[in-house]
Amino acid sequence: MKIQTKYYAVLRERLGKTSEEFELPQGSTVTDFLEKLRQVYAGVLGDLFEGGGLKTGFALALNGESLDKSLWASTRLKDGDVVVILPPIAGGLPEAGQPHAPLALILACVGLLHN
Amino acid sequence: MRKDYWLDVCRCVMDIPESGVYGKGELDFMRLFQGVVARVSDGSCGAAAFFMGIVKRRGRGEVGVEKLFMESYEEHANKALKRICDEVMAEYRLKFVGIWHLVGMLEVGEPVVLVAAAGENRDEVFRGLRTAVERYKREPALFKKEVYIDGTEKWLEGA
Repeated sequence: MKIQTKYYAVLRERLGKTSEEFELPQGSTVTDFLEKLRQVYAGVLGDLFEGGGLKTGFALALNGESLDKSLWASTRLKDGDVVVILPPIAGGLPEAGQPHAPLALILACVGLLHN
Repeated sequence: MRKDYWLDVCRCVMDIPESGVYGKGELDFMRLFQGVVARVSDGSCGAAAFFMGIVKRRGRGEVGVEKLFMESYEEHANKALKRICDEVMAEYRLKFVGIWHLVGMLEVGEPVVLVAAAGENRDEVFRGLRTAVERYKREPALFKKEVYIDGTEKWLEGA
């Protein structure tokens, strides 16, 4: 079966491509897909893999939805599925003493009625 | 404020684009702002609050930021942003929540994201806005690279 993948951010830059298709045996799981990728790109992406999975901070999406790591080994892929490795998602840095400080500013609060 | 201000605003109502990621130049944040205000001016809302994220000079490198490059896995990011809006609306009983995020190369000082929340009471509106902001930073597949004034660059990790 054919499994599609797309590359973003650091993966796209390292591989010099935005997408690719892999041929995997019927019944393959998400973990099998990752192993295939690790084998094919051991030299370029080797440092992104860790203990049979992905390095901390990296996640994975199946057909546009995040897939929890605990399900990778048990999730069987189907022909045409799209598996995407998600590089670390970068929000703003927390500021001192304020664990979830917004990046910028509250632009406006419009009092419309009696609030 | 002029009595006909809101009528003027309503006249420039546009179809508010769906929450999601858009290329630079595809969105006019000020028109979007006006569109949201017009949308929530039907009497059902007592407050509307907006958060605008702006590209800042101080980044995570040793030198200042020159530009910010935003990239997304659009299918994932669009689903995630819509889900955040739906869930925040339900959680805080709001009338409207929207998140619009730009991708592409952005200059320091340029707006990169607009988050809007509106509802009956300001307390729920502020809390809902804060939750929507914190969630958009963690959940959608949006990837950020800082380009520094010395020409170096770095993909950022971690919320």
